[in-house]
Amino acid sequence: MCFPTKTVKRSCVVRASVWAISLLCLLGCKDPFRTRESPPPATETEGTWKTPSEPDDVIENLLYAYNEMVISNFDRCLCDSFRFSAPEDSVKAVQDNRDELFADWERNVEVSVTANMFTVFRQNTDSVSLVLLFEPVPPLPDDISDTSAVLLRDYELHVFDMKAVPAETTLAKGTATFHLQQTSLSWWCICFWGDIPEVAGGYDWGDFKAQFK
Amino acid sequence: MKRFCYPLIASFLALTFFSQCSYAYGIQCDFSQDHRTYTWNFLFDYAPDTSLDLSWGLESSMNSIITKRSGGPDWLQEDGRIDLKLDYRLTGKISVGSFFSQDIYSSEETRATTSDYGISSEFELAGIRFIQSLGVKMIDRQDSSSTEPEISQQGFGYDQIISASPRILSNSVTQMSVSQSLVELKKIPLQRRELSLAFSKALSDSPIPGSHGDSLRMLYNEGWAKKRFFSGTTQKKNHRDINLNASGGVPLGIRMNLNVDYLRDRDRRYLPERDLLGFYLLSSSLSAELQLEKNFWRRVQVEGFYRYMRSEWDYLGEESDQVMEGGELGGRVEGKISQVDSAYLSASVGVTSYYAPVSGQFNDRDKLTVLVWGEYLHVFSPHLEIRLEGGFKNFHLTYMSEQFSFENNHDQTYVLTPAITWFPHRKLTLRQKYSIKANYRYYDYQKASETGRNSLLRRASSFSDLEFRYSERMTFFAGYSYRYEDDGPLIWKDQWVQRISRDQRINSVSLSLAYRPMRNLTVSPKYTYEERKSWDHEAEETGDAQEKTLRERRLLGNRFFRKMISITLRYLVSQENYLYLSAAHRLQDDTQSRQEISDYITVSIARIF
Repeated sequence: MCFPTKTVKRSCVVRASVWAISLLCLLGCKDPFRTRESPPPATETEGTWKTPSEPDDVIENLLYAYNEMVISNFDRCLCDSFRFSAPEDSVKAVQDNRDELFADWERNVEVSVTANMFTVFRQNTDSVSLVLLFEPVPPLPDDISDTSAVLLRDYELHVFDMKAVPAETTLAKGTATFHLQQTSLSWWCICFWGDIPEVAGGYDWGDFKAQFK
Repeated sequence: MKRFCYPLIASFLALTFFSQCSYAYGIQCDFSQDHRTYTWNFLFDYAPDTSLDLSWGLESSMNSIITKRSGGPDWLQEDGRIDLKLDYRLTGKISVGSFFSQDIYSSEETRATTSDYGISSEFELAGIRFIQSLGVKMIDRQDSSSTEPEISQQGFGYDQIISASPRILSNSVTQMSVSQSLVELKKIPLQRRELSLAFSKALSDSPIPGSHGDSLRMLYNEGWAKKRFFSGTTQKKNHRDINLNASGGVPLGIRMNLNVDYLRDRDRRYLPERDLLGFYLLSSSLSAELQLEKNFWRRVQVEGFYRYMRSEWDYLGEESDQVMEGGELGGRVEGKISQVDSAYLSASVGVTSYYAPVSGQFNDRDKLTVLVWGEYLHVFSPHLEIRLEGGFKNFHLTYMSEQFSFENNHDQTYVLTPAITWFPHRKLTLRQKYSIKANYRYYDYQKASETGRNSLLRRASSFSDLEFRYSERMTFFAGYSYRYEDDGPLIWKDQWVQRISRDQRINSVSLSLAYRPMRNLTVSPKYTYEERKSWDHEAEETGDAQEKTLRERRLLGNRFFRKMISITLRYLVSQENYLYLSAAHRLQDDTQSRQEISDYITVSIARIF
């Protein structure tokens, strides 16, 4: 007659424990099939969105998402592999001994920072507001191929502080470089966003975003 | 660049004195020009493999980017690093050494340089390893564009690592380490402590050759840091991360993999005046994934998974507090149905919810995502095969606030791509592929709207490719593609009806050649031509005042064309040893902007000696 050895018994105990943990995890987790109930609309506020069948549509969606502060539309402009880089601001951060400020700025960081920014501006509409503008003529023609594209846009970001006496306007100016890609089931999205100021040491979009990180 | 020249020259000279030793060193240089951006990368790695007790190594890297700006000065950015280490083994368990490293970051008028040099020692006692280093750290900060004076700091730095790998259980690996860093710089002191524990154990050997056996792995990291910025702000950070991974066989021949990750970071910043708390953020995330897989009859692989994630950002009850929670269930089936048929199917459904606990519901939303993708391959004969790919993606966004629920929408994409590959001759391959893609976007509370918010975009493409292998050294490629696309508003009339507002047609031709004059050398010239035309559809009223009718007019909106000629030279000895040259000349023009001529160059060299 064979009896289970100590090794086999221990292995069975470990497996059973892992099964139990797995089942507990499943029981306590989120239902992937159901969303919450949504109330009927009280107002007819419209966010602007266009299916990004061309790279320029993505930039247009990003512009509207920023000015209308619709985080869900902004979120959808970014690819899963998104990365943001502000090289001159990174050097300034290293200058200040804050090396990690612009490091590892990936999609979840970008969405979290922008959500934070939109929340602050939406909750204080009587004191702060912002307007984002892109120059109508880009500094260089767009470079578009079948599945990848590079678009450059000169931008101005006006931030108004209406509670200051007198009211203050902060202006961020620079050039944003957008690298986009397209996949089979998706449309165009931004995989890389580079930012440099218009003048060396000037206040740019990266500086503005870092305030909300 | 100058700062790195002297060590590089010294290292090249040193190579001549160590020529009698076996050594490995590598160089990689890249240059690329893209639009008005010029990028240089340089990597050098030298580590002589000597049988002596003395060993040393040198690593150097440099990255430079110049961006030319119209109407303004060129913008230059550089960052680089150099590391030099020297070790001398006194006995089998004791060694001493020295180190030197320098980091440089510069952008236009701003430059930050950090240098470290000192001595180190390493010894082992009763299975515990002690590594210590003591040295000098120097920091220089210059900003010519600012009125702030140049900053220069110098101070002592001390690092200590204590690590051990005790053997606790058979077939297991345990690693523990405690480390501490101190940098005594007057304006920017730094303290850091870390604890790390890792345990992994093989629970059994796998009965199937080539596959992994049962295993258990746990990781625990805890860290604390305190540093001061040049602005005077003091930052304190706590970090914790835990990982658990278990993999093994469970009843019914199923393999299970469970992975759990927990991450917690706390960041507090105190202002220099009166030590007030100026910033607080506690971020935590938990993710768990359970995967089950089983192989049937050694032909069909079935996998299923459930993924859960939850993240929180706590700004101490501020309006910016956020919570995100998501669950996803999915699976895939892959296998050979018969000798000539194989199929693949994957599907997943998930809900991600966003909450704003303090600021109220106004931005709370749920996102439901459904994803289905399938592939099928049928081989008629060694000369003919057909492949079918298709998928569906549904994205439903709902807001929890009546302020935003007007934006609730569905976004659905359908894709179908059949392709035929024919090998009529051993030297000839023909491919024909079609692709149909459609995107429906409609709003839950705006179905009756005719403002154009509900929309449909359709795209149909045809790709024809030819590959002719003239000889072992020469292959010709030719391709033609045609694409039709239209979009317009969707109108609800008992069912969705599209009204086209724009359509576009794109024709593209490409010709290329791959020539191998030598075994490792390939030269590839290529020519491509693309023409794009788009038309706008407008409704025009015709007829008299009593009987007006709408007539659709189709007007040419934009015409675009592009010609590009390129040549690529590739000399490939191995993944680590290669030379790559590429140059392209492009001309493009359209009715809405001026003609543009661009040139692109890329040079890349890598060599391991």
